[in-house]
Amino acid sequence: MNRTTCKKDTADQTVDVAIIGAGVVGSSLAYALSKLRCSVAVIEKEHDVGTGASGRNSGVIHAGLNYAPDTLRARFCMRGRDLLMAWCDELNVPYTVCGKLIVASRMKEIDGLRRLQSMGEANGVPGMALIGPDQAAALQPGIHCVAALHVPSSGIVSPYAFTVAMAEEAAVNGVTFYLGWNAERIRPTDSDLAIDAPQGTIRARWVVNAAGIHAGRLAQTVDPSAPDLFPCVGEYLILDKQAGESLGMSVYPAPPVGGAGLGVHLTPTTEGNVLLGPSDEYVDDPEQTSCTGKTADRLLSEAQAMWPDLPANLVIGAYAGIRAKRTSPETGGFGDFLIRRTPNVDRIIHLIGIESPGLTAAPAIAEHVIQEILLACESWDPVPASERVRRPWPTRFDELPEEDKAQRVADDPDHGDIICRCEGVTKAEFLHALSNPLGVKTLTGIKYRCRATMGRCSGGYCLPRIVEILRDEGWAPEQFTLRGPASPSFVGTLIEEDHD
Amino acid sequence: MTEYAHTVDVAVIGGGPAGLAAAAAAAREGADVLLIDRNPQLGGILNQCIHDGFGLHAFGEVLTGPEFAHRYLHQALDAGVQLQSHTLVTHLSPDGALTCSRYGARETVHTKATVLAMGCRERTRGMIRIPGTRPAGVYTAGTAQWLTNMANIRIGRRVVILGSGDIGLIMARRLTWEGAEVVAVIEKLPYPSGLPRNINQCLLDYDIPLHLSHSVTCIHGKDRVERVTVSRFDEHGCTVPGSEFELACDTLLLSVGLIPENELSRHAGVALDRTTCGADVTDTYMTSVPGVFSCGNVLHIHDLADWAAEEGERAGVSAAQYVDGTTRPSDPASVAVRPGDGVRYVVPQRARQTAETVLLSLRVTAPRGPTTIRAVSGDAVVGELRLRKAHPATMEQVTIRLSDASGDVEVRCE
Repeated sequence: MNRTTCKKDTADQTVDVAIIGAGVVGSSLAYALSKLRCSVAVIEKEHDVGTGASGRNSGVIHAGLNYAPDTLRARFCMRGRDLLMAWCDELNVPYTVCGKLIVASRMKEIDGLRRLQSMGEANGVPGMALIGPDQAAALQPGIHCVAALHVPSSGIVSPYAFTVAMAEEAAVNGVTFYLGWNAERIRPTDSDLAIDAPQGTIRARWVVNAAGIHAGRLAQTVDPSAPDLFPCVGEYLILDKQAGESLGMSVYPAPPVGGAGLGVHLTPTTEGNVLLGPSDEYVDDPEQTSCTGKTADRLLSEAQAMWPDLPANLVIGAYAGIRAKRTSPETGGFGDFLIRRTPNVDRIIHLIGIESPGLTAAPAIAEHVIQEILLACESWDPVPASERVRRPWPTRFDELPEEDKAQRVADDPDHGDIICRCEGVTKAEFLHALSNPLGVKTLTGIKYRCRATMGRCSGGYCLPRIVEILRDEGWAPEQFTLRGPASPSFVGTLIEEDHD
Repeated sequence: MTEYAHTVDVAVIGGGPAGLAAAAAAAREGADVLLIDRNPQLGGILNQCIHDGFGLHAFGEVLTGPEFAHRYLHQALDAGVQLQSHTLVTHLSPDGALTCSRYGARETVHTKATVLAMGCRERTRGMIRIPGTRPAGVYTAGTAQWLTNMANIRIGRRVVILGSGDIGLIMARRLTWEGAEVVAVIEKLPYPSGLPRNINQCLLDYDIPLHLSHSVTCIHGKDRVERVTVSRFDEHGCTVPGSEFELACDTLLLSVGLIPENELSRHAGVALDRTTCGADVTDTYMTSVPGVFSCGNVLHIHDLADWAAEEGERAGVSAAQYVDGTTRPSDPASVAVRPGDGVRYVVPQRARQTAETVLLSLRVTAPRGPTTIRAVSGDAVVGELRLRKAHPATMEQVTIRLSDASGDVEVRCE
């Protein structure tokens, strides 16, 4: 079994704040609260943080031009991008302000670019320029368009690295994570609030519902008039790093009118791959993250319209995420973020409909919840910097200059043992990921933390090495899981082994 | 930690059949040779191939993979090759400097010639874009072979195998022996991708159904594979509506092709062939980067390890001769050798005018009956091979006489 909590004993006590959902919003809040003298518990139904929409998106730091000026989306996007970059600096999470091009493939789409530009200007987005096809191709070779809006302040960040780094640093600073706890109900009691899960009950003075796609349904357990959410799946393709060598910035189409997404775009990742997507299709099942062949073909053809040289033979993987949309399939478009207080119950805060730009906005949402709501009622002092424990996101060995690599190997010989050839992951990096403070031992969790099995061979090379390391550490085959106890990688041994 | 020489005549990267044979051959030619392999144990994938069928051509004997590797390992040792295992070459610069990484050390090796013999990797689910969920229980056949044969791990109980490549066929039999139920082997092409002998010995002998012209079109199961949807494909590669059926299983193995592992080569500036995904080489197996040679599965996918080893020997000899300058493998290779009708690829892609005879390796595009593979230059036939039948699963070889050639050579099926 994976260790699912950091320390279970607090389950019997009432914590100051319980956060439901360890996505980027819940983790941002946990991270920010870990800097204050208060007790915090995070309840997450999966066996790791950031496994839902937070880890399954474009990884774009939005500039802030897609939202009307008077919306929470605009406000939290603009504030969130500054905080996100500051927090990435604190946590050593890599990000790049690479800029983006929004391209018009037909003359009639240029008006749409102008609308975005004026909305961006109203929101305070700096440096935008409407440019011609030659200038666009000079900024990003190979791009076909009739015009483009260049947005230099757009950026990229690894969404799971950011989420994991915040959660891990929160954990080493005293926040308790209950992983594999499926919160089913929020229940006010005489003295406090209770969160009921099949695994147990968490008691808290404050509850923040950051349950993503499940936030609406969960809110309704205590607040029947809370709105429904509509799951809308976005599928992506991942391209080999070889493709990343020729894409320097994000490339978006002119926004589709009434669409549930921003259109199929190309985005470089901080690790050098290219993401292509997302689709936008409403589904019934909020956990429906499977991919379809038809959609993959559509993603490729739409992306090829903007980037004809797109190397379709360099697809190495696919994934899908679920948008938590407030707008129904009939309505389309986007709803605004909803920060809802439960009538007659003071200390429950629901964060509902946090779809795009949720990643960018998450730190600002956390800041808002703390500054405007919690600290209006509470007097928690900040924890002095000298008392804080650090768990910085590790700089990848593969990205170090050659002379630093030799030094690292001299410091720790396990850095010489490269276990993942595609991503250049060393055994020392793998062991660091394995010893994460959340106690996550799933193969997917280790993958997100050090990139082993994440490259072009999908683990063909490193899985045997990982198995050898963990078998040497005493793991039985049954202990290997992809995402938790329900997804065992193996079923046992072939011949009985001696255990002396 | 043993120390190895950091300046050598020839470095061979990869210690599978091609690399071991190349290193032994280069050393027998008198070169000072270092072989570097990333695994703790030399032999490459042969070590996990505990079935027999190796060595028939090279030694006239039936050997298992490890036995076959052992032969070449001894040849290398007898010839005085320095062997450096558990060391990964992370960078190759065009001037022959290799960055090598191993436990506790990161160092540079300087060479006069380098032989690339890194082998290949398996095509993955992501590359062929199988739709559906992403549960545990999806493995490439070679990884499954390692887990089964080298790690004593039972990967699943009810197995569907997609692709009739040789590793998939071998694994169908292997998993059956280990008590798993192999539900079916599914192949998208109308003919098997693996060798006929493996179809007989691994599927027919065990009553494992082979569904030709079918593919897995959806994977089901949120956490672990629960079942797969299988659909029929027509001659245009489109699914036949209504042909879908489902197979319950907890494991899906993929044996859907191998890809030469050329990231190191590409970064060194080695020009690659779009069809083979291996280097574009001359008749001496020299790549577009002078002094860098390529052989085995990193050059093109072989059907038998015997042929990969033989190719390694030829590349090893060339590398040694390049270093000592007795012959001139570096002469301009001005004769292009091209695939024509019915031929998917030919290796080498170029030949020196001064070469007298050149051995070509090739694959046909589709199964054929009686076939003559003919190499033609201008009006002259410079080489010919008559076959009772030809199959893409089988690598064919034909020797051409360049002395008879009047310009470029085209190889075609007639």
